[in-house]
Amino acid sequence: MRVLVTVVVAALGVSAMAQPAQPPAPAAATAQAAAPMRIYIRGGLKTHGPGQHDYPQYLADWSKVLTERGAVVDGSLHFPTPAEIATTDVIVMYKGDAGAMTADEKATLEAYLKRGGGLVSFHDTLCGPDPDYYSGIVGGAKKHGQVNYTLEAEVPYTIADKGNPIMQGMSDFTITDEAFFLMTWAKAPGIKVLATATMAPTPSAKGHEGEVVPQIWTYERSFDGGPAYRAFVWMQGHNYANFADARVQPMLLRGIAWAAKQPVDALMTVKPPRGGRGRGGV
Amino acid sequence: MKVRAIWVVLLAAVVGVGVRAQQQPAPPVPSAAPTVQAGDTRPIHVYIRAGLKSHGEGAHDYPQFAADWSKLLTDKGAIVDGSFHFPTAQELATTDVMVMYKGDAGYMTATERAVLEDYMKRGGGLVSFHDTLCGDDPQYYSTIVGGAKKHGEQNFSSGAIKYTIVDKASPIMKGMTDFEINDEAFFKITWAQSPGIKVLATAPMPSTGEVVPQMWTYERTIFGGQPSRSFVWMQGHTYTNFQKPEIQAMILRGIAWAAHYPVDTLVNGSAPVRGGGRGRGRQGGGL
Repeated sequence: MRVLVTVVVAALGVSAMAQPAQPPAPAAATAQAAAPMRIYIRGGLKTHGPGQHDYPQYLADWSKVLTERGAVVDGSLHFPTPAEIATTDVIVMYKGDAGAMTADEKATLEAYLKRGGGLVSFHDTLCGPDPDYYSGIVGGAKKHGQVNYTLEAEVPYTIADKGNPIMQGMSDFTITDEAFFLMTWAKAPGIKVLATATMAPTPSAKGHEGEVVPQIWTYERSFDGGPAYRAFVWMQGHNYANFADARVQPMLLRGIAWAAKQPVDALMTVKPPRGGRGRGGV
Repeated sequence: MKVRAIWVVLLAAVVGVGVRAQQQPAPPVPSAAPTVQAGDTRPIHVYIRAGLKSHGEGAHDYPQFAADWSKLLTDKGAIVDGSFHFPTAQELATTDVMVMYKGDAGYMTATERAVLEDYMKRGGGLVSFHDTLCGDDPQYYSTIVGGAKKHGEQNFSSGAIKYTIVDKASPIMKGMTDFEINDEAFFKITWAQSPGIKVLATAPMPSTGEVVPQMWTYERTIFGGQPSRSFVWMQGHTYTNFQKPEIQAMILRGIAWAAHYPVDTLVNGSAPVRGGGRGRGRQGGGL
């Protein structure tokens, strides 16, 4: 039954494929070409074993990757305050169980989404106590505490939406990482599946081996009558080295730009350094 | 130039002697907020105020410091938060010590100054590395961390930094002997007056030989508040120097000292076992 559901969800994604390529964002929501993209990296403390879930290293590395591509970057090891994301175009989240939020944090996030702020979510960021709620934030969510992971295994991606600009030039590929399969999916609107993977036959995935589950998707929703916001999700990143994979990194850069409502290639070019001795930071 | 050199050496000597006179043995830790009591096992709450990378390869790697030291300090039993921006009052609400490695952190808005002063007034500690103490108003910032330099001045000397440990009795410098690293030093410093700094180590400038304090502590009580402590290591231009064993241990002691904790709290500390494995993390995830 679950296989059927996931395949149906994937099929919904395929129906999205049939639509014309991503329409340009409405003028009101599209950032001025000259304005730098403002990115907030929501990191966290390291968990798990060596080379895994290295949230602080992501904060360090990607603050550089994004800055050298012209973005204005801030970030932290905590959930941001309203002031911290007042001018943010997209929050990039790599922090386990970020679905666990206080009421104040939920209010902060909802106010941000209501003004059209974008989200990017990696790996277990989408875990938390209330997947029903959090699936309405990034399109899909998993319940913390469930045995809902392949552990380290091959994740063989099938690109479901080759026409999507985030996936441009990509063909099916496999990485060694961890996949989740017991997902709570958003309804009306649902996700647009960009890539699926077949669950590996690992002990922890017993009973789910062979299931085809979306692992990369986009989600668009209008929050309380505000302008639509965008979320981009890559559900891997258990193995930190995969962020630097030449097949993955460009996709993430395009996904971040897309969620920020900028042209998807906005972060693809390394720009000359602002240079020299000086204030540098934010 | 010679006059300045003499003045600096005199200052170091006078202050250093003052330190020795005053710190034998180290006085009991004054009360701070929160007060550390004997047997209190509350972990040190550390906020890492970092910033974006500047300068060349291997230099001023503020974000890498946030990554590496969030792990190190967590492994040493601290509760760690941090960011690339000046923290809000809310972010500092439970912080014992703010560890700052971010160029030109002396640049602050009026609101940021107010947040910092409130934090110090309740006894919050500061640790400053390298060009954190640069800014537009060294007169002001010298009253925050004891010494400050003006941004934009040609005020750095690179090469072998040959430390003389001036205050071997300071618990922060425990077991340390004179040593040398390759880094960058500053020499035109505006120093706090009454109180002044307590010099821990000096070094002659690689370019001129002028002897200038490069490590110090500074204690100040903002009117009506609790004593606040600062520990400064003015190197860290070359990021790998943070990993040198003698420097890492000194910094861990300096952080604990500035937090009003026993100086060996972090050196000897370890993360509590909290189930481990899969889950929200070693400390329950982020803060």
